[in-house]
Amino acid sequence: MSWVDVLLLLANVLIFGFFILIHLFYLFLLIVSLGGAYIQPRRARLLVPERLMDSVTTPPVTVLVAAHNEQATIIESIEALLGLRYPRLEVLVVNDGSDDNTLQELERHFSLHRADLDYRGHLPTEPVRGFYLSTLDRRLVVIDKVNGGKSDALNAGLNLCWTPWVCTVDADSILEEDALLRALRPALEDDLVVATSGIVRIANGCRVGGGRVTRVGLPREPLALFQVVEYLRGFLEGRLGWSWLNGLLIISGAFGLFRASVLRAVGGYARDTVAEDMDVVVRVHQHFRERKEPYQVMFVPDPVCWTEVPTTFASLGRQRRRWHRGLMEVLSRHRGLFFRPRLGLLGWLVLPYFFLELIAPVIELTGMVLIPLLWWLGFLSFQAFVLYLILAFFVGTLFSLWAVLVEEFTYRRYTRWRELWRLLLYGLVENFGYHQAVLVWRLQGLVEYYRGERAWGAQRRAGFQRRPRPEASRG
Amino acid sequence: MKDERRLLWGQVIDAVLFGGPGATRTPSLAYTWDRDAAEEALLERILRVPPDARPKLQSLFRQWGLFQWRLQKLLWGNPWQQGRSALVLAEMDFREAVPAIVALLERPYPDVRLAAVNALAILAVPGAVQSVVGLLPGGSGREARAVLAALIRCAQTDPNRLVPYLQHPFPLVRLVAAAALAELAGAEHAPALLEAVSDADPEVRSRVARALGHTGRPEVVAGLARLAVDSAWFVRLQAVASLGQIRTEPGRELLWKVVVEDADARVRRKAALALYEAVRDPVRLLKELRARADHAPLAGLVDELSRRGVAREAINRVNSPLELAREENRAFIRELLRAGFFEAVLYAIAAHPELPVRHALLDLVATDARPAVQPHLPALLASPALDPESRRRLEALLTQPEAGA
Repeated sequence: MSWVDVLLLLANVLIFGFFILIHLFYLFLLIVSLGGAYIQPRRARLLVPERLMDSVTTPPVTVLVAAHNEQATIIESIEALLGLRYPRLEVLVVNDGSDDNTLQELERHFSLHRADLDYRGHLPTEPVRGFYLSTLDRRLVVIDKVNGGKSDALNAGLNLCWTPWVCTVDADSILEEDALLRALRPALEDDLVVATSGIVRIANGCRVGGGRVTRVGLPREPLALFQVVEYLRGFLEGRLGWSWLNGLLIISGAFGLFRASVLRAVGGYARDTVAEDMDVVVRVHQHFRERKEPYQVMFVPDPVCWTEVPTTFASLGRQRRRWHRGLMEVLSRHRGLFFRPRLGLLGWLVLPYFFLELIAPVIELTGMVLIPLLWWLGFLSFQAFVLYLILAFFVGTLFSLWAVLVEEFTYRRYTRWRELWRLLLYGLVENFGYHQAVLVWRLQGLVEYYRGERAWGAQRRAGFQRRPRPEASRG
Repeated sequence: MKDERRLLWGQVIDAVLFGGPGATRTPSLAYTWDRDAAEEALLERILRVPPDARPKLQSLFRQWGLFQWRLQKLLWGNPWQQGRSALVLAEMDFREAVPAIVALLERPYPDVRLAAVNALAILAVPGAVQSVVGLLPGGSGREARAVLAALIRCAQTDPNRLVPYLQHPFPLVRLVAAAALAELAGAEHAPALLEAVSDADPEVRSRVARALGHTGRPEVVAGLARLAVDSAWFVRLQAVASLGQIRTEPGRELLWKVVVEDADARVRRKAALALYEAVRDPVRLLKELRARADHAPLAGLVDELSRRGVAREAINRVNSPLELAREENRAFIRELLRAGFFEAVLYAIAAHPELPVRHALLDLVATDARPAVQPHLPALLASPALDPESRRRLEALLTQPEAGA
């Protein structure tokens, strides 16, 4: 056997082994998530949100919003948050050194005035310039501080927060009216729950008015539609499965609820990563597992946070590169946790799975070039080539279709039959083109990491209402 | 559209309630999803309509066969159906379902038991107290909060039903009973609660402390005094909060002692707030706390006064035509400034809509805030919102930094 043969054999084993392993993971998660997909909607039907509104057992919650250059959307977002159905609510906006008129807009609209508040400084942050209270709504508090990034802003909010629970929300996202009540349900039932999150759904294509989604619809842009399928798969299979195993590693920054004391105990959000939401959850797991204390980090699929997703290749690419760079940062920071006996599932299953996700673009793209070439050159049998095609293209399609069907049989947010057919169609074709484009962006994210890029990159907010609706733009 | 049925049922119900054209076509009740849709439409409305319209909705519920259907599911359905049926019947206020709902408390499924507890809470059945409490010793622990909410509702007309549980051998039962009494207790429960101040479980003692505050009786101060020196900080915290509610002279003395002596900053802060509740004299309180140079209670009190709008109100009335009010507000602002809390006042100097208010505040800053305020003045001077007179006075202050010190 020549060294070329050995090399080819190794490459084959690596590529095929990777696909088999990652699909086994997906299958495992799918099976595990079935329990959640069956039980969670039924549990949701046993909740009467109105009854929690007048219950003394419903704990106060602070909704924490980090705002940097959000003048286009901030008023609408904050009004929507103040309109959430929750009995004891405080909305804490942290103006993170905006260069635009974010603070002035808030000041004018909510009649803010400076106040002397008790900022305890448990967590180090950039200097705070001042605190504001609203004369119109006592539930609104604003912190104005020097720019330090999203994590720094969230940490500043944690320093001022007095409630036992804190909910982090992106300034450009929309929570459904009873999302907080629904997301907090597991914590009301079980004191071991230290963090929960709801599902993030795509608002492109929905009708938005008064800071609420008034009609749910699918986006017209194909790129956004692919992301709808992707999000359904990620949340209804991945997160539901991991949640069931108490191995949920991502609580989206767009909508996550935490016990404030736990966030402080783990040192708040890390300021030197773009994936601060994942990083903090890893540290929460580590905190409890190292102390051998029982805890739960849960994903609840019925509370919904609506967010707009990128609709151009450039912006989507930027987002995916950042996400993958973030994954690399988190796994690299916590590499010492891999296979540590004390951490159980976290070290032996969850982190290795995310490592596979990390190297997926390298292996999948290599396979895409190498395997057809090897078959063409006669180094690979036809059967092996077909097996590769099945693993690389068709199995993933089945997982996507399954996620669409789970959505249809459980939550049914898309109420028209036409929408179901479109979702199934996009689930079918997602793996032929879109998936490969995402792989390229993820690979670029890895390259960016090794080049030392750490920035978030510029983001432009248009605001939900200011965007012309697709119907209108088509006359 | 898949949820068209619910909209149609809504139109039918609205026509019955308010008159009007009704649905464009009569919806069917043949299948489960039809009945679900009709039920959803009724439930949506029963939570919103005035009490006198409820019988109409209940009558529709029966007329459409939904009551029979739900009762069947409650008695013989699968666990999810039983739980859901209990909640629906409770929301529709059908008290005849209570025995069947109570029977669900015996079921082995935590979700069903939880639904039954919530249903009993909705119906607020006083007779269910014993059955609901009975869940705790053998339960999975998930029920505790729901049981508490149910007890508060079920025992609100007769809190005496909770008193025997304060001596229950199971700590969680004592805890939940004390927590429920913390919301419902009256003067007559003081003796039973005083007996419970020596409970072995600090969580229970903390709830007892809260309940004692709720009684409003001066004779409970002795019990609270004991809890105010408890080994657990959260028991002391609750005890001082309750002392603030009772408002007696021995209670106030005790609070002062805690503000000065307690080792935990959280307790000292709470004691300062409780003193404010008891005394309602922020000027004296700020002065005395400032004299003790302990930042935690002082900062906690100023935070609370700001959030309640007391500081803002004082600024707005700094030029009140009533001399007493004017002097009182000025004294309060002076104390704020002397304690080093400048933010609200400096902001008002630049942004208050009334110029005389700005000038009065500037005078107070000149006399009471210097020299500590000096580093903050250049930023204030840079504010474009500053009026010419204030700017002139500020410049004068900056050029003579020590003059008013």
